[in-house]
Amino acid sequence: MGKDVLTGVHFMSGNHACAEGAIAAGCRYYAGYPITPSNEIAERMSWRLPQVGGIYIQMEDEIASMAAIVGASWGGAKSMTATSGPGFSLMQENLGLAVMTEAPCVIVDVQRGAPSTGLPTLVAQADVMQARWGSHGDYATISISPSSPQECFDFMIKAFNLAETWRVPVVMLSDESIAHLSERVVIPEKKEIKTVFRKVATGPKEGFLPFKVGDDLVPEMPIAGSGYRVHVTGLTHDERGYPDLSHRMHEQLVPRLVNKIKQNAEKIIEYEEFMIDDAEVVLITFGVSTRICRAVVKRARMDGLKLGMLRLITVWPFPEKRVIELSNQVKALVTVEINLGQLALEVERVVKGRCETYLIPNAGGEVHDPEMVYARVKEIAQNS
Amino acid sequence: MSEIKHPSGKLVREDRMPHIFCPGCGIGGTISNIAEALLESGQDLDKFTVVSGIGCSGRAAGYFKLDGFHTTHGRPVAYATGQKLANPDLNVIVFSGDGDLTTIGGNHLIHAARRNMDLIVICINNFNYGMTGGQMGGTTPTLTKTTTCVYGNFETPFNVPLLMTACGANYVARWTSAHSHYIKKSFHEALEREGFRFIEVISACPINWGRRNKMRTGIDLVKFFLNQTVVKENPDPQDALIQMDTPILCGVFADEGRPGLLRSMHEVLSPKVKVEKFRGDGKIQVPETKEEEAPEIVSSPKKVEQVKIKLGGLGGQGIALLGLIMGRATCIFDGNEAVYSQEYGAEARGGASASSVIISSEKIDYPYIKVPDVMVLMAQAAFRKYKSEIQPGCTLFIDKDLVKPEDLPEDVKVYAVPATRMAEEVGRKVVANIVMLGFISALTDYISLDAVQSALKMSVPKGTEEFNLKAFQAGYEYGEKLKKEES
Ligand code: SF4
Repeated sequence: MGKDVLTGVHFMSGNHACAEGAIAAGCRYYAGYPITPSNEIAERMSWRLPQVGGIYIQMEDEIASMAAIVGASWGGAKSMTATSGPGFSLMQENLGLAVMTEAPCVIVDVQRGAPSTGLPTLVAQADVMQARWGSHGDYATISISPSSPQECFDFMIKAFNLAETWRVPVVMLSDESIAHLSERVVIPEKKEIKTVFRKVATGPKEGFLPFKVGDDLVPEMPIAGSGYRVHVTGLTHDERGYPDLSHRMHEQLVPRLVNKIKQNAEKIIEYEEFMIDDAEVVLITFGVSTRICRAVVKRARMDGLKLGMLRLITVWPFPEKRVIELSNQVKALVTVEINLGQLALEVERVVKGRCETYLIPNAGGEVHDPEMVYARVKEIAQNS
Repeated sequence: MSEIKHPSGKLVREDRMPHIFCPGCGIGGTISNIAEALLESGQDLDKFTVVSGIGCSGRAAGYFKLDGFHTTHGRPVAYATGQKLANPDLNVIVFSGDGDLTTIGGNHLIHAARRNMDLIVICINNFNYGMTGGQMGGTTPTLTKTTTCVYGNFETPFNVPLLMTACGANYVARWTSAHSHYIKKSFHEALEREGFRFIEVISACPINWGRRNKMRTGIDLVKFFLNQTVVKENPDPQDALIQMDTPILCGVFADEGRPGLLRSMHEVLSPKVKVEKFRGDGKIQVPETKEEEAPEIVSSPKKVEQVKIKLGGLGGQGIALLGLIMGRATCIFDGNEAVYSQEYGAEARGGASASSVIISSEKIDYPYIKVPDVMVLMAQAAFRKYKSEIQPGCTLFIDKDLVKPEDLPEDVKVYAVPATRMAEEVGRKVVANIVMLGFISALTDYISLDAVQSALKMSVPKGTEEFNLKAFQAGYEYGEKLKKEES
């Protein structure tokens, strides 16, 4: 038997760390289609999964890849795929199916310059809204964003645990920069890694209601082949799983799927704060930009400027409560992201003018230059 | 009124009756045929799943009292591929329509056939998109009418059996919905085989196709099917195109013994990986692995100021490996921080390319190098490309024979070693990068000697460790000598 947790100290790229994190989390099924800059994940999975009894399959496109991991999830495996912007677009259709049929799975989106083919080999963070709203209809899922190879490993475990707990697709918003940086990755012992498996149906088979929920709004999953003989559909359905195409049923189902995340947001949301207690201006950021913002905050503090950073670990759901608190404390909130203003829209929406809000954009291709960010922050601090 | 039980009632969701199919539709009958065949098979029906896409036939998954998955338009084959591979114990049946499978899902269908995916696919072909009101599709016979070809279809439809056999499906059959007996027989045959098994059922759609083509009722269509059908033994799929004036050729078009995907996967992978049981055997649970001792993490690393090293050279010179060894030495064996990155993408194809390593005792925030403290150059092309980044204060390590630095800014220290020549003397030119590594190690102190050597050993191919260490030693001694001469 191959080793599923490579305990020890490694020097590893973000993409490889994603693959190892997935395997350590218990992922045993990968379906994908090659796309730059995510390929090292597929390559490593095709090598590693057979060693741990898992299955790697290369599908004909990203539509198929996403369909296959939803099928695999209902087949009882922890499943995943990895892609980049254009492939992520193709996955949106079946991501909706995963939402509607409550199939836990993980999608790594290694973001690159866009739109269209854009900058296939260069960094961006421009899929923030695609991760939130890419599929049709109202829904809520979870997106998390790593800022180092170590976090790639750790957050993949987090991603699978969140997917399994809430029975939703979880998007790992990585990017070309993190994907290709190598750094120290410490992999703990297997017994120290906490992994979660979905609540599996165990009750009597007669009259079982596969979509009946308790307080947490998450139903038990009757995995295919376990004898429950359930019907699972992407149509609006009742607790039996049978299609019910009425306004009344839709008004029950869709809000439940959204509330499953909304109502449990406090349990899901994670963020990191840096030098925030006395901050007058706070940078809001995520992913690789965290590193740039941290450098800028350190530099500002040396100059006596009261700058802090709120770094989102879960980009979605958005930490509304915390941002509202901050907006009452600080003069300005400054969003730093490698796009022309996506998360910034959410910040503005939540802040509702309680403090100044700014954006330091970057169309993509390179991470922000810390000196440029610092110069802009100084201006903002003086003017607010 | 006495309740009449459907003969295949045990396998049909009676709580969902009446079904949605129109009077005279061929789908319901085919569902019954498959349900009966399943009951006759005597197999464990808990282990069967039905996956369908969107359309009239796509609703089939909802009527079988099996685990049923009603998925997205065109994707049931891809979905089923995931389900079967994740849980090979299952018998996964795809039941869907022609538009779903051959048109919007055509790419998935041909690839599943090509890879001989272990699935049974029942394709109900009613020549049109029934659910959406009768539009034309990839199987609509030429000159027939639908709501989107009211003057008659000017396209040529797919010859579905030919398509499937050409793609390599293991088993391909075609019947019409009037051939209950054959449908059941084919399904039994399919159950006994592995790989991709495909049964096309030409099915009556009086409401949306028949009506527009002078066959108003199910009976009209059944008559048409029976009149037009030619059942042959070993029919040639070349003759299976359906047009209004040609016979509907039915029969078993392919019955090959190619191994299914799971078997092929097993045959290739099982001998090569150290897994007792590869998952192709149907296990969902992954066996526990034995714990092994974890290597220790260095507790009190020595302090180093941040140093930014850029390494440039030509493809094949092992520049990336050089950077990787430095990173590994620092992170794994010295317990310090290192970030390593490679020039990636178009700019790295052909010509000179670079990688960079930043070393520090502190966490490294900004991961890239704008102004390098140290530059290692192994080729003149790299010198030309990265020269503009050499600023006063930079230390330059070069291959003495291959790089001729010109117009350097003031206050740049240059250390030169004939790395490639020395590598040839050691035995192979490819270790020039390792000679360079030894040379740098002698003249710098941000990575400890032990760490570099340990990282070197873990980074080179097994069996070449001694040879590489020899190259390292040569470079190191050259550096030591230079240091002595200087002081
Ligand atoms: S539209 Fe045609 S295929 Fe669909 S249910 Fe009616 S008769 Fe059957």
